[in-house]
Amino acid sequence: MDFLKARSTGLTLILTVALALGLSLAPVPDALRPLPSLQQGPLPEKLVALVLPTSLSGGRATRPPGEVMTAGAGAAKRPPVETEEVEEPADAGALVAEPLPAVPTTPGIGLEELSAPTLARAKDLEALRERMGSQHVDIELNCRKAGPDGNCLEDGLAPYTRALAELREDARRTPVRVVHLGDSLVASDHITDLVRDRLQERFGAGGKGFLFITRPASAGRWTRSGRGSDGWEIERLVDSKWPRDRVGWTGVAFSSEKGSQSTRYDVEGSRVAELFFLAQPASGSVQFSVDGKPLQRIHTRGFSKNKSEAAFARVTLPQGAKSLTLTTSGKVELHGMTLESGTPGVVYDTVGLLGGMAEVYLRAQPAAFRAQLRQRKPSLVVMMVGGNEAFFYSRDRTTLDEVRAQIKELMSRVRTNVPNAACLLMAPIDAGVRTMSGEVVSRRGTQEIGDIYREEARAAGCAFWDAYAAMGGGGSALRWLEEGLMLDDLVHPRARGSDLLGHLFDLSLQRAFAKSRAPLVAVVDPTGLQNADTALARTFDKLKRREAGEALRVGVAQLGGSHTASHYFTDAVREVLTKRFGAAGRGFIAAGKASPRLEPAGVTRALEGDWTIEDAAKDAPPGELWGLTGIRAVGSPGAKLRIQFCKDCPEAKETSGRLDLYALDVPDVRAPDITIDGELLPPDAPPPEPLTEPTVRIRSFPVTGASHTVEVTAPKDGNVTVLGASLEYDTPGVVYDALGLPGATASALGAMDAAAVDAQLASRRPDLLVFWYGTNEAGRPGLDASALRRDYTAMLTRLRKATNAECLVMGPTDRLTQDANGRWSEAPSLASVLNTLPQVAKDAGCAYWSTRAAMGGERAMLRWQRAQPALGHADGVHLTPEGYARLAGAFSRELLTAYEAHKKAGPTSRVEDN
Amino acid sequence: MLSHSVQYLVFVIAVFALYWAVHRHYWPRIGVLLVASLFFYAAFTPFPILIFLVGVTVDHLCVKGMGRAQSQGVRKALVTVSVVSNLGLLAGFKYLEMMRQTLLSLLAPWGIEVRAEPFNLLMPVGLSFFVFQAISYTVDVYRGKASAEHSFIEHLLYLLFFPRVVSGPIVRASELMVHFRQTPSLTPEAGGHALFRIAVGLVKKLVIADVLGAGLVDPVFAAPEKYASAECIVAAVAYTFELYYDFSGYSDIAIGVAALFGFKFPENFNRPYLAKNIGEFWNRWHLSLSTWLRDYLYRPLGGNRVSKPRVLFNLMTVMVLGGLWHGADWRFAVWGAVHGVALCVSRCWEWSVGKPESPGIPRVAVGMLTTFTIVVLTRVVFRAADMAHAGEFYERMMAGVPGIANVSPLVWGMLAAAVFFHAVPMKLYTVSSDLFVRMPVPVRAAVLVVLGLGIRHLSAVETRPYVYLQF
Repeated sequence: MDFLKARSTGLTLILTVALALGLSLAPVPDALRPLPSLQQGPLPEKLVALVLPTSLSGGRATRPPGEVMTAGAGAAKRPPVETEEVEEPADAGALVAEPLPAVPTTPGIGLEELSAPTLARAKDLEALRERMGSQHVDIELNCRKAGPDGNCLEDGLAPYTRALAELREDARRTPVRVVHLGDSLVASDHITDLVRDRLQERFGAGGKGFLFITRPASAGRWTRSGRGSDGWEIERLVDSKWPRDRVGWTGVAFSSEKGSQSTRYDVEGSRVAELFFLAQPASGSVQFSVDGKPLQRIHTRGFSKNKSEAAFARVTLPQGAKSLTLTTSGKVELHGMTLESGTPGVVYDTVGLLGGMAEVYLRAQPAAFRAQLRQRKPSLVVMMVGGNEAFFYSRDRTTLDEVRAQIKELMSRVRTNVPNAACLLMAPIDAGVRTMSGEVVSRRGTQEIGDIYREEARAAGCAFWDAYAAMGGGGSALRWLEEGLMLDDLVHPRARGSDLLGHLFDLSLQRAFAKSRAPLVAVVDPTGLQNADTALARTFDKLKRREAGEALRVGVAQLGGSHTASHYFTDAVREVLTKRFGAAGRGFIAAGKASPRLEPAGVTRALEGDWTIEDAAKDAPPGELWGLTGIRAVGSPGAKLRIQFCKDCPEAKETSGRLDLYALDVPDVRAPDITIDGELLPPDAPPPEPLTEPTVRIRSFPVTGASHTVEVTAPKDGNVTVLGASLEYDTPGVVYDALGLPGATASALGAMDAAAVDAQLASRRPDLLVFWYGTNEAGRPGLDASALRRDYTAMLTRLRKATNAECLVMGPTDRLTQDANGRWSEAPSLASVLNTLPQVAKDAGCAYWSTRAAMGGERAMLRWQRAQPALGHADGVHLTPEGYARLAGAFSRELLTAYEAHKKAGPTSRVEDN
Repeated sequence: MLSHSVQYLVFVIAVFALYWAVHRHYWPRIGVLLVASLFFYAAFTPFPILIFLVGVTVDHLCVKGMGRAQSQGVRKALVTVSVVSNLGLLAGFKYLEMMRQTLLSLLAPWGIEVRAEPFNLLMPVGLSFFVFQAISYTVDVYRGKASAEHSFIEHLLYLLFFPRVVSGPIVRASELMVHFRQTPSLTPEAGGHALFRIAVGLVKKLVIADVLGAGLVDPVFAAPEKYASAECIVAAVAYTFELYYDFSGYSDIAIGVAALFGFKFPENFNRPYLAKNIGEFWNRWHLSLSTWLRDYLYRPLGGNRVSKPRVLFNLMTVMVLGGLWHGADWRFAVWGAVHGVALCVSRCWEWSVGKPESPGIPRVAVGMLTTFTIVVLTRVVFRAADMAHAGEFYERMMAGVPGIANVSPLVWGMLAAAVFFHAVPMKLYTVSSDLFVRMPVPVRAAVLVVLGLGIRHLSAVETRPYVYLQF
């Protein structure tokens, strides 16, 4: 036979195949089998899998790098419904998607207490989660302390949730610290930064926490370290020659072997810095300098002549410090630095070591590990390892028994060293590998290690979070790769994938916290803009037409208390809306004295002579005539009032518009002299019928150009009462009036002369009325909620009728009051107002937006006060300019999101312009 | 079904058995190879076979036309049709999207409308190699260097012959097609050498290239900011060796498998990293491509027989186009251009100081080191996802961040092995191969099984497709 004539080559092939098959099936150690998969299932099936190309045997074909056409390339775009069979059935368990825990329903998924901007980002991540098939997985709390009867007295997270509750109730003056140890997933700080930000937003920021001296050699971002000089000697626990008997859980030693070294930290908002170092004989010192000026020198010499030990030095930083520089002198070994604000809040320490594993953390010197951990007084220690263990296990370089023993020892060490801290262990996330044929499959062993971790966490009394299931179970790494959430190494999530993991972990922590306690006030405080689709339809339609190019004016008038009167909020919203839809002028400005708050909008006011500013909110009798803001400026004979619009605007000669002056005409009092842009106007014609009582008079003057000044001078024989002025251009766009009166309530507006208010408001031609009352009502003990609902609804109905405008009601900010001991609690009627205003909005057919929910809900004011820079005012009522700007950003975003949804939903309907 | 997979080895054994069972008869022999080649390609995806059929049909008609035409003008027109149709295939499937993106970024700011949606065309596996080989045949027929008498089946088999269809080598008609009609033979020595060559290729790919790639190159290039400068430098060097062992491993398997069927493919590599200058490097690296570029692009442009500035222009043109052949991304053009500049500098140096007859050891060492450094540095552009990533990688390399701990002992070991096996005299391979051939058949089989076991254990990292599969 010719084949045999090919003689030795053919025979060699035959014998090679026979030998390979024989060895693979013979009772020899697995390591000696050339094709071990043949032993791991029915032989015919395995032989077919071995012989047929994967694309023909139903598996995923090789996916070459780049966009090259293969049978698998199209399939790669589809999320795998079922995972494919692989050679080794032992792996199959890791690949078959397990039924995942159901999405928790109580008390929600944890989004409730996020501020509006964070919520918006969280919703994006939720959409991503849905697309990726990732899951909300609750933390398995387990039991850290059981009673004699076997009942659990304290769940695994209890110290942590208790500490957070104390923070929330303002009953804690020290930070709640979380120490998060892990591997490269933590080192990049892409998962933990999101968790840190969210926790600090919900519970207040306590500072940056633990930072390395400089970036460990292979650490990525600078976010978790100082900016060190180049000569630091760096030794890590993950190195083959790790620093023995010196380093604790911080994992890295930074030595100044080569002369003086330095590092610099950005310490804005920090008041307490604590250096972690090694105290050793003949050690040098570290000079602390703040903003270039020497602050303190720390000697790192140890007391014991023969022993080195972990030590700490705390330094108080001066208020307003911006940068902290450490400069070494002599040989020193530093381990890190903590920065804290000194205010109650959450501090989230992270230590991520590339290649980190439980075994790596066990390399730490036990005494240093204990000392460093105790020094932090953590409420929670999170351990996020297992990925590298799974890698080594998949390569047969470790065993499950070893993995179990190591994690058990690490948890034991944590629990023993900080017995009052909760501990939480995470399962490793799914990862992928490329097989001999180039196929991408799930890495084996990840789930087994997760299962071991679950068992050991339960046994150790630590909580457990199944990150593997949350990610989406077996095969999710492949889906994440295809979606661009995973790096090509199939192990590390990209930034967006890390954000998703952080999001899921954060929400699981929040759900655990929410379950652990009842809310401080029982309110239904909906997040987001409610009922906008119907209540704001006409406004949105008009905006849509404006955006499409129609020459329309869209008027918005916001009425309210000091939040509105401060102009910070309205200025920011106006800027967003006019940027998109065009600016049609500054709108209404109340009469009054000079105010720096008007300057950002280019408006100046000035009073000359004797003026009295009267205020409707200060016990004025009902039924009087007031300007739209509840203010009237009364000038004595000869007194002069000046309002200048668009002070530094560039000259625009072609711009035409109108300037309206709002004033009271009083019987038998001569009209004031009015000057527009320096030109004295001729006296008004007398009214057809003599006035019998004071009347609101709106004088309208055509103007050309951008900048204009109106001056009103009281007659020499009488007073003048000016209410305000407005400037609008004929250019299409948005006019956003800020009509606020400090201290005002909805009832104050209701008490003003209705006809005068209605007429003035109608003259503003609003398409949308925004009402932001409630914060002052919340501060009133014994508020009659039913009266508030009735009167506020009636007023809204009346004003809507007078203006034919739509309306939006904003809820109060999170108003808090402080007791004699300095502890904050909710304003007496906050809950009542929060529960009433959504009803008012509903009754009057208005949209509703809860500012408190947008701030972050329960005790948000406390966190806003303690934020850096502060967002909440120290009075617990108002916000800082930064706070108003943030809130305005959230409001604008919500409004425009609803507008976009409306645009997509339906056709434009022609509406009558006001 | 990649050639380093178990499935491929089983496939080769089955085809080997069938082929040698019928090898004395032309049609059965050709039929076995053609069906095997179509089956092999279809295992990736069957659709491009239709594209290739159309391409081969056009080429074949042109070839036949050239064979019959007496007029030089007609022959020229026919070869032009063939070349244009082949380049059209390449442009359509490989470069259209790149051109769209480029035009979009250049013209859109000027208000000129360019299609905004991507074409979403996937490139058939091996298209670049198919096109270059197809052009070589029609041009050779035009030049009278190849016969126009081959049948359509032979023409099709020549272009789709399974040992080389994915990533070459680019084989000339004179090296393959002419042998289709000859009754093949396989001496025990030739068969033994072929098996040894395949085994060496598998070791190169699965043990050295993939360990370097998965163990260091992939993670470092994916996130260089996470690694120290020295680690980035080692990764760049490791990638340089990974690419060589990956592609030369593939080439060894292709050459070995072809030899099992009685065909002799040209060598693709000649220890390129021992080159003393960049010109010599290109005479040692991917030889089937560089000789193709020389014969079908450089020489038609005038080659060396033109003025010196024109020679430099020719070199740059060839290198930029050769770079761009590797992928539809301007970074490949940049990579080619940098090599082109290096070649021009090298050529100018030779013109000014002359070629030394026997350079001394220091000069050789400096030359090798300089050439290797240029190759390593330019490999970064070749490997990075885009120019921005390459820039980040260079920045990281130069940042001076200390540390080398992420290079595992296994990677160090493989790097050392890579350097060693690259540097040892070729005689070592020849002697080893001869030794293998002289072994009794059972011992040979045992050696192969032991080698397979070794590969199984040493290649216990993720294995990946061939780098050149994407080209």
